[in-house]
Amino acid sequence: MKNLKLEKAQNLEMWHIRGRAAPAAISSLSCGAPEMFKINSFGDFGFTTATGVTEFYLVDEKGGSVAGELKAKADDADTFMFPRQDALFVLSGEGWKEMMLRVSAYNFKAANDGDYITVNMAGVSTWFRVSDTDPNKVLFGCDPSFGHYLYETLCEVIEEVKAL
Amino acid sequence: MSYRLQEQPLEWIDRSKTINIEVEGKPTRGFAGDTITSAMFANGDIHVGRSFKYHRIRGPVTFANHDGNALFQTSEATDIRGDVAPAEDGMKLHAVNTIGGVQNDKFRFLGLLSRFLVVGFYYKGLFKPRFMRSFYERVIRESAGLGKVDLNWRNKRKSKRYGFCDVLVIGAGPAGMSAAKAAAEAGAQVMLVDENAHIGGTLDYQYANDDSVSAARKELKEYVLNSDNIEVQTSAVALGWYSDNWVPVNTPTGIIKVRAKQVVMATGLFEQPSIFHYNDLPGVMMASAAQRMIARYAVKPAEVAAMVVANEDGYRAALDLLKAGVKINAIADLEDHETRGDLAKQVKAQGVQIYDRHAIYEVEGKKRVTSATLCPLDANGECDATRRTTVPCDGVFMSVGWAPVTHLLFQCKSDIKYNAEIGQFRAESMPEGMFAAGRVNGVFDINDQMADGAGAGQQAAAAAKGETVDVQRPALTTIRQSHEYPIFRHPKHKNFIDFDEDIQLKDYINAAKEGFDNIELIKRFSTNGMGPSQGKHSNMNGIRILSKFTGKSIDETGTTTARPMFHPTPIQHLGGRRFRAERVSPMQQSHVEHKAVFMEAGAWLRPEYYDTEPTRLESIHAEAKAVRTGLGIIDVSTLGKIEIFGPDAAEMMDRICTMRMSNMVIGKTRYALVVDEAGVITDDGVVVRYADDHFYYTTTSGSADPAFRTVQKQILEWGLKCEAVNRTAQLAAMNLAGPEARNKLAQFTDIDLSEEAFPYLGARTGHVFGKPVTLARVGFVGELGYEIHCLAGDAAEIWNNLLKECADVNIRPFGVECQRLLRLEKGHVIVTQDTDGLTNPWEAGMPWAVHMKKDFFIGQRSLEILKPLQSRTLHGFMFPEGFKGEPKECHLLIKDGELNGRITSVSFSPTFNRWLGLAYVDDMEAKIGDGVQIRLDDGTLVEAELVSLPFYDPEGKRQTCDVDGTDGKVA
Repeated sequence: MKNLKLEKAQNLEMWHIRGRAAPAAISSLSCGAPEMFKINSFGDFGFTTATGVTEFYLVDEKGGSVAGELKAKADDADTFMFPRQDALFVLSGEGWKEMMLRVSAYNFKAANDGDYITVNMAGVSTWFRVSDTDPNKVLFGCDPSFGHYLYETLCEVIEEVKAL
Repeated sequence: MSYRLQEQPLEWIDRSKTINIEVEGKPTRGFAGDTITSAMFANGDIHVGRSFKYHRIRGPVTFANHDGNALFQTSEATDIRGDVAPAEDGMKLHAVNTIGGVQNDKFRFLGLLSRFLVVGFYYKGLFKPRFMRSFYERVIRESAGLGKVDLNWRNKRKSKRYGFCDVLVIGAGPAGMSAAKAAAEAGAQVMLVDENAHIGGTLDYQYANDDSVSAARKELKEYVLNSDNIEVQTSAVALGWYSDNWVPVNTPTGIIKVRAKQVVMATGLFEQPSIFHYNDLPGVMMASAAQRMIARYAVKPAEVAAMVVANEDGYRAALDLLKAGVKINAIADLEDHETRGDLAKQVKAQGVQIYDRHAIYEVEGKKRVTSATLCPLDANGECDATRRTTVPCDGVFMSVGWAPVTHLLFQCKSDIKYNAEIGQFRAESMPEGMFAAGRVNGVFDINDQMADGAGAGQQAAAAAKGETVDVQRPALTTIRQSHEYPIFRHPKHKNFIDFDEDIQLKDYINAAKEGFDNIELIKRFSTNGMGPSQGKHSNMNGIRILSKFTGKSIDETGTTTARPMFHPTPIQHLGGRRFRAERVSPMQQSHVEHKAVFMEAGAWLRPEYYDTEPTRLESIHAEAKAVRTGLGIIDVSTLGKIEIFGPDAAEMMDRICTMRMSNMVIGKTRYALVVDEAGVITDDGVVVRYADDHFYYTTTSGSADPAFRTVQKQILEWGLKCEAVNRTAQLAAMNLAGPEARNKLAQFTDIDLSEEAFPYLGARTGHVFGKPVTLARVGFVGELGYEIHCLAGDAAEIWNNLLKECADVNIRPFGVECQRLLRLEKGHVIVTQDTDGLTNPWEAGMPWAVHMKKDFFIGQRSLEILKPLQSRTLHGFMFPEGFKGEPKECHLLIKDGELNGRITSVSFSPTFNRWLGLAYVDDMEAKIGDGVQIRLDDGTLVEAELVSLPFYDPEGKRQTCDVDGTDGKVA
């Protein structure tokens, strides 16, 4: 766990898509509609995920084409695209799953590649996108108001496990 | 004198590393791997502490983490168990519960008063005379504590972590290691936990000299330590069992919260003492303790020994002692050594005198045993004291039976019954997901133990996959391993059941005679099993004695409740790392730079005020002045922010709020009051209508999550075609307020702020500093103002730009306290400050916010009922100018000596240069201009006058003060 690293993901934007026409809009994307609590990924970190029948999340690079594509197709009274301002982090390095055992009750070792997971971490509700390409890297996000606390806390925990 | 032996084949000590500790000022040398007690004993110092009640000098008894009299403390920690705590270089230790040290303890004569300190003496004697009770209490409390807590102790925490496995195996002895190996071989992920510093269990001390198991030991240990499927946790205690196989495991680095699919309990047994006169003298110990000392620490437990045995294990221990050079002068076998098998013969062949059907009746010695007296047993199992055989010895070793480690088995609701054939409790059946293996399961032969463990491991691994496997588990032993009553009366007593609490046999019997004949009651009255070792070597004998006294069977007598924690657990481990989630707004950095003093508002940190003036109050007043005369800005990002959209959004808003929202014009705001089904005010905020089917609804900071939950629940319950999104922290908000608000904001926005285009209570979308925003023209603080709602990511830039660009009008950020003052001057209510858990809108003076003519809203019927029942009203009041008192919130209003209400908000207003506030007045006849009496902290009654609300700008002219010429003047 010596090479664990936590970074703030600065180059991503996130959208919360709701509404009766949202499933159709998502399905029309080039990456297709994801299964419930699964991700359809594109690019390094881009993905869509379904968290409800009419509820989706989209993460794309800032100014990314998929978000643009959706904005164009979602120009409908029954599809609402709310920009999300989540604090986004990339945790990388071997042993990140072991490190997570110190802050979350979820067993990340049981997670499958491509899962979208919502868990409580250090007292904060977070979502995780489990990478389907790099087992030593994970993207996660939380309510922006908790971002500072979570970053500070995780950095402390990382230092702690590095010292073990 | 050194008791250190030559190198033992499996010893835990590292002779290449010397460590030095200091015990009560005496230097002691040991090796890495020694415990405190083993290091002391090796140097001939066998006195590890004083007993709790009589302050009798004590030596090691179990070497198994149950030596309740071997408690030490350092300047850093107390409750250090010497029998298992590693001796660390440089340690400076003191025994607990002494005054003057172990050897010169001032209370060492307390034993002479033992006839007056009968069981429960404090219940019986320490309540008279009445005036002495507090003295007695103080003395008892001071005496009851073990060790001294360092009050300067700094907060230290050990992180907790979660652990997951298919199979958790508790106990790394022969059965446990075999279970772990079998489960791992079946593909399961295994966690193997053992409280000892090394795996091996009895294989490494009871069978350390048994060549027949050395190959199996080697194979098991190598496999367990090298398997990728097995995580080994040593010096780790399974503290308890909770639902769904949730087992906290305490390790030196903190607690692991283990969630296991299956659990194998291979927890083994505790050896139990024989009860005879002076069985607590230093030198008297369990035979297994002697084996641990020899095998693990290479410490010779005595030079000359006597033993009392009731099973084959005793003879195995005797052989180990002989091999270590201990001369055994006598063995008292409570039954017949001929039934013990080959081991007894081997002992006898070495010339040891064995006394069949004998017990040790008493031992002698002052600070260490010097002789043991054996007596034959009569037909009733009592010692015949007329026929004595006394042998010299400096060690007495007891091997009369065992008690299974069933604590976690009890907790998981196993069906535990007493098995008279074996002489111990055993789980007759196990709940799903649980397995018992080894000696705790009643399997004693060493090869059977390993086979039993392997079988349990296979079954557990299969069960973890939802499968079953047919495994033939070994049969239970047919040889009784524990004597049914190794307890012997003595006219001089001092035959201890419980070494922790100094409970003698007579104490226990007297307690039973006094009517405490229930196992739970007698435990609490006698305190048997309530000391540091929690009855691990006293409960079984307690049950036997009570069973004999009452004539009930062991099962009928029952056991005490085995609650977590299995061992005392440091608070720093239980506490773990503190996760106290904290929320900050995007403007936090600016707040810090502007010297904000923060307050907690739920999980949020909010600026209470900015520390810019000499005092807190002056800072707040300066902020208020800026808002009233120039420009202020407050961060209100903590407001709940919910968007509701869809065809039924307007209907939804109508049902949630007391005011009608469906008739709102697009681009307008409206005050939103929310009550619950009982008509009690729960929340308020502002609603913006974006479109026919789209509303934006702000809530109070603390109500964001509950309000959103209510909205979601009601959408589902009512089946409305609309959806809700909680955007609370996704958006930020700030309120720019003051006479300069419009003039300045107009310079940075593309929204037309003119009075005609954007009147009071209007809402517009557009841009500020190029960032998308919603502006809402609301007046919570009573001045011309704009709430700016924007994306959280844009907020800091907007905020900082406003502070920079408005410096010419001396803009000031203002905090929560200033806002509270300003809204009070305006007579605005704060929900939960000016309302309580019973307040309805009629009482709060807000009938204008309730539209009873609507078809329905939550709480409508209750409000209909409550309206004629109103019994209090929220009034504004003012003290006369120059009033010097200090009224506070919750001060009472008094009328004719009776309660007449209470203050909800009060503050000194710099605008009016006097104290003013809000108060509920019970007198429904009270009217504006009446005087009310308020009782202050010191009891004095002071008079205030009821005044109409709002105090400030009743005509609302401040909303247009910049365009109608009233700029900067109080209306």
